[in-house]
Amino acid sequence: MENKKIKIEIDGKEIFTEIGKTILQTAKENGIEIPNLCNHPELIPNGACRLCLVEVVGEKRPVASCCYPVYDGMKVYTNTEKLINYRRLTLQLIISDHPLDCMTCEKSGDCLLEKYAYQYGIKKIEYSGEKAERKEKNGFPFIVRDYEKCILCGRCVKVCEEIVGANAIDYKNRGFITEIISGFDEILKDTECLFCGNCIEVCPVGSLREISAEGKGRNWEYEKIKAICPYCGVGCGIVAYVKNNEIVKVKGDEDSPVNKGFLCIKGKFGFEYVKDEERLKKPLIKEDGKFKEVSWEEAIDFVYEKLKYFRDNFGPFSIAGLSSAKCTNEENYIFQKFFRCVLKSNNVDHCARLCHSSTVVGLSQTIGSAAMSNSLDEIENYSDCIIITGTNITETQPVTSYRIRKAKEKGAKIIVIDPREIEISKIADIYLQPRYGTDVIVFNGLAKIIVDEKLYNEEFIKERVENFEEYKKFIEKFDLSLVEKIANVKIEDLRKVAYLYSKSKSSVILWSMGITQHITGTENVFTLSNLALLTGQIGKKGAGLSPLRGQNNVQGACDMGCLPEFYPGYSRVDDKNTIEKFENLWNEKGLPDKIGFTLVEMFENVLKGNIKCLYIMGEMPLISDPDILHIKKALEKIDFLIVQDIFSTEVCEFADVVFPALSSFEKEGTFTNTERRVQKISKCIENNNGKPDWWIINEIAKRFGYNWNYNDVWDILREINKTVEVYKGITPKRVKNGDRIQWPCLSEEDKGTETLHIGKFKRGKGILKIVEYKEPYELPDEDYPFILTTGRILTEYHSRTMTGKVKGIKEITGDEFFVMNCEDAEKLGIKEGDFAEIKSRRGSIKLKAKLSRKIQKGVIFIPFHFYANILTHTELDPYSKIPEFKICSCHICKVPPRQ
Amino acid sequence: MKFKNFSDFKNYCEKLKKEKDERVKIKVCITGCRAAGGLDIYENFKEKIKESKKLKLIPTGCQKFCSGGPVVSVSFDGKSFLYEKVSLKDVESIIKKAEKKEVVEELVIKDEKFLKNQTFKVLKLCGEIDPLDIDEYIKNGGFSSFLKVLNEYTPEKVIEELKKSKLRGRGGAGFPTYLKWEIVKNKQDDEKYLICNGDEGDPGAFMDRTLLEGVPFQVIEGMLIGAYTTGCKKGYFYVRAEYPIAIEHIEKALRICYEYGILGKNILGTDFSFDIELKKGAGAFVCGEETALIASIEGKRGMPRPRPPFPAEKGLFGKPTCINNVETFANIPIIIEERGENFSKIGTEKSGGTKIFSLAGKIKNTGLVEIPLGTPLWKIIYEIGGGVPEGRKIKGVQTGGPSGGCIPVELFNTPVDYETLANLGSIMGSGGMIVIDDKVCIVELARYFLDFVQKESCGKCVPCRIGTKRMLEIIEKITEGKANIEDIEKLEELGNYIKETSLCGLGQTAPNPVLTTIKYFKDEYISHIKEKKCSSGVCVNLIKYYINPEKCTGCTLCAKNCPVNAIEGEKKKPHKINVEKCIKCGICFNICKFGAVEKD
Repeated sequence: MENKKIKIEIDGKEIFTEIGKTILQTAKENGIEIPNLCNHPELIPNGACRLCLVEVVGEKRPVASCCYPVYDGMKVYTNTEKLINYRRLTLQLIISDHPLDCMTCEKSGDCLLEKYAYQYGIKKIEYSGEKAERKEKNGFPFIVRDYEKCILCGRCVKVCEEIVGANAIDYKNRGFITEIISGFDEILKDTECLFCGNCIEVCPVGSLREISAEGKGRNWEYEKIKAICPYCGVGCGIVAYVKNNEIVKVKGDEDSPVNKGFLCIKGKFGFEYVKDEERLKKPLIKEDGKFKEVSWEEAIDFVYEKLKYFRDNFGPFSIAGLSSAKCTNEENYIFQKFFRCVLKSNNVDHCARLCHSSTVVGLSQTIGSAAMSNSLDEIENYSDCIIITGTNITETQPVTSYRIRKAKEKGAKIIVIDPREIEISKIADIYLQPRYGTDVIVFNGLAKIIVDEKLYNEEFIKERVENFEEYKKFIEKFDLSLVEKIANVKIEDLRKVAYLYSKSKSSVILWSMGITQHITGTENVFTLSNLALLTGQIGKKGAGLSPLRGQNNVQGACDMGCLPEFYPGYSRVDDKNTIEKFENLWNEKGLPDKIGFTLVEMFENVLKGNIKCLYIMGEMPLISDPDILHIKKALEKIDFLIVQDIFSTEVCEFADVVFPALSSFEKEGTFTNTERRVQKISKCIENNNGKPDWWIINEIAKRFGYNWNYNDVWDILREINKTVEVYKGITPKRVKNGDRIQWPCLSEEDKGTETLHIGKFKRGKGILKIVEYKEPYELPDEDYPFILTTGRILTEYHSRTMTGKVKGIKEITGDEFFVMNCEDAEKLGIKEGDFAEIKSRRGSIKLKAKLSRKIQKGVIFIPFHFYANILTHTELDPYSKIPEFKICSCHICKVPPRQ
Repeated sequence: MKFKNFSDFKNYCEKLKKEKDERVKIKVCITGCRAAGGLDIYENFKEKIKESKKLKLIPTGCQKFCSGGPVVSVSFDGKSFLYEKVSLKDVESIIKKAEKKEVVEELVIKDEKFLKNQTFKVLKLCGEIDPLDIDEYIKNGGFSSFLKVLNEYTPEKVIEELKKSKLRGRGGAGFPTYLKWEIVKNKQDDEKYLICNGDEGDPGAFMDRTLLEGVPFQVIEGMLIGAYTTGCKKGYFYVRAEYPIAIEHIEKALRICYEYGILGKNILGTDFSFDIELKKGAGAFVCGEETALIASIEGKRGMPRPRPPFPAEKGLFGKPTCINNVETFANIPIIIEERGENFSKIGTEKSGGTKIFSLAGKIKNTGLVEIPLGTPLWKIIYEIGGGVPEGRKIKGVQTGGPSGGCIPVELFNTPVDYETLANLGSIMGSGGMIVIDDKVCIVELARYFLDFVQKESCGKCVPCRIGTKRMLEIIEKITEGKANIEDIEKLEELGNYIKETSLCGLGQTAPNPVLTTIKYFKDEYISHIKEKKCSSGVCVNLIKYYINPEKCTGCTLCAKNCPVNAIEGEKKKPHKINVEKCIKCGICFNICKFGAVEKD
């Protein structure tokens, strides 16, 4: 996407720029300021405010620099007397229709209109007249919609349309009385509004504001601290506005290459949990079935004694630990180090097992590395064809979906393959809706067309792929008619996908749980990997295999080795070199070399009596793990349970010791986002009740006699620089400096790596895998006639430990629900809002029904936040041990409302 | 589909053209005259004529002479007679006479120069044929241009002809049509769109409406040639919902074209495919602006977008889009038929052909006027329009609707063309022409148009949304006698600023009525401000009613009818108006039988 370089002249100064840019962009890049109110770098220029007018030689009238493209030899004047006069008039007119309450306006100090009025010396209104009557509207529970201050720049409407795609607001009326309304002017909560708050982010004046910050302070009184959103894997940059040790609002960090200032509802408004009254305040020890508050000393001593007891009496593998993808890299690192070094156990795992373990295993086998091949920026700007499969991106990684929208706007073709007609399919060029559990057939079919119609990249295969001949023999025999018979996808449509994917300059495949959470999860990943290897759509900008990660730091927790089969940096535990390497680095003998238990296996082994003691740091398995009742039994049985969390979650009830931890707003460290970008979190407020997770573990290690010399979290990162090769250059100094580096980064001078697999795969050559179709483990039958599938929803996060404490979010989520097809519902006499009991072989739950035509007949969807895992089974993918959350069978019947 | 290949259709056309019908034709306008009862008259004729071997009744589009409506024309032996103000009772006698090839003399229009001084090209078939009879259109040469293009012309050749024709966009901006088509043609894209802009919104303008209602096939033929030339496979008619007859006729005409195989996939067996869909406007004036219109078709709020990129580069759904006005498309078949060179023989050096105007306002003959570009204003107003009724004086003419300006009578020598009108501060626009006489207050006229554009501003850009409002407030002050002389300067300052800085054509032309009237009729503004006088007696706040005691008989009629009891006086003695109480409703003025109530 190299653009032609040209020369233009602005205010007599020669400037080199490129075709495709606007005058305003070029001026800004060259330090020439042109005032503007309606323009936003991420939005399509609107040309509404007319403040950015400039004179171009040869043009009859001044042009709006925000939308006027540069051309070679262009001559521009930005500051003539005429223009200044026009700008004054424009400001005069805007102010004549704007309240003059700047002295009490929340936006004062940060208001663009105020800034320009000052700059252009507007002191009184020359053209006074009637003011348009724009009433304040209801934006409960998060947004103040004070339209009296609205200058109709249109930014909010555009961000809602172009970036978010919600289209919740638009203009009403014409002429002077034009105003912004939602849908049919209902309260915002009753509209399509997703409460991402991006309209507030882009509002240049005080018209849209955060309810949470009303009356809390003036802009210049806030300390503005850059941090990272604690929710999903996107890792959006945020700025916390803090006063008197309170976060009053959160804004998107415009400097972040990840989100460019945009957020979703959770990042924008989901911070209230931090100051919740129910936060854990003191360490707790259970005595006679009741918790008592104890000192840190006492709790730590107690844990030390217990751990020592189990290790010494039942062997190291009688202890297991669940680390957390919510915690920092440093905390995860020390957690696994503690297990391996101190307890000598490899029984360390975390929730990655439940999301992308099949991706990790699958891609490790085929190409050697499982992280996202590409950055989000690349996907927006370089990918010409984007396949989105098994990921409800608008709800699970909303900010990534904004990038997809931008990519589409920039000309990329979007292909969505998903059994559920998810929101993003609205903008798809091709949408395929296969039956549940038929991914292998769909992607084998795609590969078959690619091979049969010679769409594969011969040169790439010759140089970088092995096993082609054998694979070819297999796929040539594949019966393409299965695509229609079993997967219910038209071959013609699949052919279109095959051509688009293989012929585009750069194609990328994005996926998440819809691919991975199957008993064929790893094999599903193999079939995707095959496509990239056949067509050479990997190892170049904008092309690759990009699994979208779930948790804020799930990538980091994996990188840090919180996995039973890997030491930090994906060094296999059963590899002698690994043991030798870490024995040297850690200066410790006898490190465990036997693969530990995976997450689901741990609970199995508790029940079997093999595991006696469990250490859970920041996880809530009673929501997130399959067959919850089964997990509950294990927790009841366990001899000793340590829980470290910020809230007293359900799992704490079973604990023997509970440590109050700190939220990500209260400590320092790093998170690694979905695109391998290591970013610093910040201590925004002081919390003296809890301790950072790393500190707690370090204290216990000290009791065991280990002095690792960690004075602060950065000492741990320094050690990571030494032990994890791809983190080598990501030093505390650079992180603290605000660098957001993508690994691999091999030295302090290395800028990091945006695209993986260029030139060579980690395993050398990529390998094509032969995969045969297998049916899901549990399919509907007479007793349980429906397929149950689970997933996330936009407003909630996983076990709701955090989102559940945000009043506004609860308000928007409403009652716990499930989704079913309208026709099925009619047959069963279930109406929208009725309660139904959903029963599986494992258990049953009662939820409110939501009816939809976007879900296939015979299928119901339950967000897993609502205890869907009471129903799911624990059958695992044999390669990665991931459970099949996406398919089990169930029975539904209408019941009276829950009391 | 009736015709699956080119030659079948061509033969069919040839055969139709040879058919002769010697019957006397009675043509009744059922479109423009409908409001005056044209449809009832047509139905009445239909009932009475039924199957006649001597007469053929034809429902037609507008026969141009609107002030004579309802109009009926009778033609036989190569002659044609236009009847005006026809009523139901005339039907019988028209039929009887027609059967004998005779004329009802007393109904024939009095002022013949209205039609005689025009040059009918685009409107030639309008009012002459049944708008929905495709065979009739074909008989009169319809679709022969399209067939010629499809069979003989390359797209380049069409563009060459257009270039020679000097045809410029009839929507008002006057962009050379060939250039627009060439840009779209040269864009390499699978998807391109062709749009016919039928969102005619200027008050008092009805050229496009007439064409859509009267010769829908001619417009479709122009679009077909456009699609063939530019490589568009999909076209849209965008017609305002306030034109139900136009919508009905276009809908029906499209259906007929599909039946004939002139629209759809592989038209007449060739590899040229073209579909047309009709979209109805929802009543926003700004949707006549092409980028707003495009947004509207996309299902978005009709708001203009900044240009560049121009629609020809990035238009509907982000694809190259050729958007032309109805009248522009209606010109295309004529250019192909006449050849570009011949077409440009009339018109001016820079613009070829004719332009249709809708002549309205304080003038004797109102209706549609088609004249060569470059015709001087006086010719249109006096020779065609017949001037103002007796005893009145012309002040000027407002061209280009609310976006145009008011040209004073002193400048009536001006030849009508894109540039000349622009030089006077007005625009040609789509062709509205409203004649202003001495009973019209110039300030009020400017206020009226400003109020219109202010309300129709899309609300997006600051100068148009707020600027026009502030201008309106100032001009309202003037009409109320509350302004001071500096306010004229303020109007000029704001007006020039809005013209220069607005986003789209609506804003850029919105101040024209005010600026031109200040330029040519400044005295009227000054007398409103300084003397608090409205010489036309229109501005209510500046009028003073008084009773001339010499004329007043004391009949008390005025006092009884005054809604605010502002008139006092004893019976049979002169009355008096209490100025404090008077709300200037004018009831006394209108009701007095002796002309005793006077106003100042």
